[in-house]
Amino acid sequence: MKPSSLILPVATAVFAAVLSFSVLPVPAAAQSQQGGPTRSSGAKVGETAPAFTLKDASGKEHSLADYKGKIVVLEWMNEGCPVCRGVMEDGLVAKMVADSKKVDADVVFLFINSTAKDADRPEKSAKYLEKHKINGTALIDGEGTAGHLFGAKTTPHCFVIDAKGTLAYAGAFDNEKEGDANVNYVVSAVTAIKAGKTPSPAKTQSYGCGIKYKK
Amino acid sequence: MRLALFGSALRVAIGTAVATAAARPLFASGAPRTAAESGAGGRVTMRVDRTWRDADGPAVLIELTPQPGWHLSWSNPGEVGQPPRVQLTLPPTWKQGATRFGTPKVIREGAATAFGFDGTCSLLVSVEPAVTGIESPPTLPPLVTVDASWLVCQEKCERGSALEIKAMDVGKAQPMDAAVEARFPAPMPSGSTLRLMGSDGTGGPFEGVMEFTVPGVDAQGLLLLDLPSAVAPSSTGPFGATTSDGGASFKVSATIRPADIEIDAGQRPDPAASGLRIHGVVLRAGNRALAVDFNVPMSALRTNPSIGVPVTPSRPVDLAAPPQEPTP
Repeated sequence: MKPSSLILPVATAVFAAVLSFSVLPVPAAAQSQQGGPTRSSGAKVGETAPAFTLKDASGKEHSLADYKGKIVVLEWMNEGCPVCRGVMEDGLVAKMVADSKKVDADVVFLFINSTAKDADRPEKSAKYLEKHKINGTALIDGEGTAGHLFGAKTTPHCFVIDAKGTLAYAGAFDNEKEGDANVNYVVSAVTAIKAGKTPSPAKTQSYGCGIKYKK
Repeated sequence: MRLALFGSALRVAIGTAVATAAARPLFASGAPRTAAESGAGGRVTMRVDRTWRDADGPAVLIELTPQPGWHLSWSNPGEVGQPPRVQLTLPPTWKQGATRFGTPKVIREGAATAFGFDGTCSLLVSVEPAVTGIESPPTLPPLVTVDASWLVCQEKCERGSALEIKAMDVGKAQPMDAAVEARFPAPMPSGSTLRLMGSDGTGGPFEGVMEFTVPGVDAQGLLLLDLPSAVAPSSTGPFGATTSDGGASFKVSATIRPADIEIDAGQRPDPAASGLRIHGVVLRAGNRALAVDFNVPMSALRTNPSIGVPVTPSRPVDLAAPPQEPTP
């Protein structure tokens, strides 16, 4: 290849790279990594799960402490997100609940909606769960308090808390990122906890729509 | 792979047709498409370019271009998003290989950090000879069906998909044009290294630091990683650089669970991925991005004194990169 033929593509690439860096400042996450690793924000696997109190559609308050002694699963939801709708409307969430309850009938499922625009419509999420035969309680987190405490980023984003109140799993709904959505990480975690083992994996990267928190 | 399943039934039905379709009405199961998967095709335009030959062999170039203000995800979407999926239906003597993504950007989505494309997302989907014993009928044109699906986001996210059938003789791919090649990260420079430094509890997961050293990168360099689920980094990144005479160093603290590596390896058909695949890209201001690609063999992980044995501090393990030509 003649050197002259490289000028235009290389110049184009350089321009694109410069433009990319000029319009996108280095995010804080990168700055915090300068010179060494740091820990991400939000609840930490292996540590006590943050306490929270949220209301359901009827106005009843639910605190994490209410469920001490039981395995608690939190799944962030937003029926406006196509990824969340995909797993809920295809029956995958109902199956996750059913499979988990086969392992431990007392597992508690709390579906949290931290979408700011849904704060004044608490009944919306509850009706959605009911419509899709999902056995769990919908909680409204319009201020994003619980979402920020746990570091929930996406819908879906799942957290499994053991009977002692320790966060045992945080991350994706399933292994879709690996190419096959054939392992539900929540069911795996519940199974491991019930067997007295540490979930593996205990932490994965969630995927889905970003949660639209209150600004 | 939920995103890629939408059109399987239709692909079979039109496997011998010569046509271009813009949408698929059925799931693989034949059930009507639900609201979750419908619509949004107009947010992204798909263009099937042609086959190009790179160092790994022929590959089909596919371009996905979102509307202004919308973005698509890289193979690791970052804190939010989901990468596009592409499934090829090829003549019987060929099979689909790995997908290579173009160079991504760091995109802020609210308070979250996403890795993706607010312009054209270029995808090179490699095609490999398949040992089937079936030859393509010489009278038929060599058709390739490209079935793509994606999540495209701005303030909200929408799902979309497209299907296109194109006559392409994948075995006669031309060498890759420099302008096309420039959209992708350059090969990892020689001298790049990955060191695992850390210790663990007996029989437990590796807890430590992955230190990447990449020549030709300055302090502005940013490392984006796409890791298997066996590796849990302490943050999504991007990871900033510290520089020395040998180039830039990126330190990523992570937990690695050997048991999960076995699972990952078992799920991947690629023999080269039978160990721990560490893949990423280094973004360089004003210069072409560099690929980061290590394949840590399972044997190295099993014998690594820093994994599986409580050694503190452990001996760093040098895992040299496969030889590559330096970036021009």
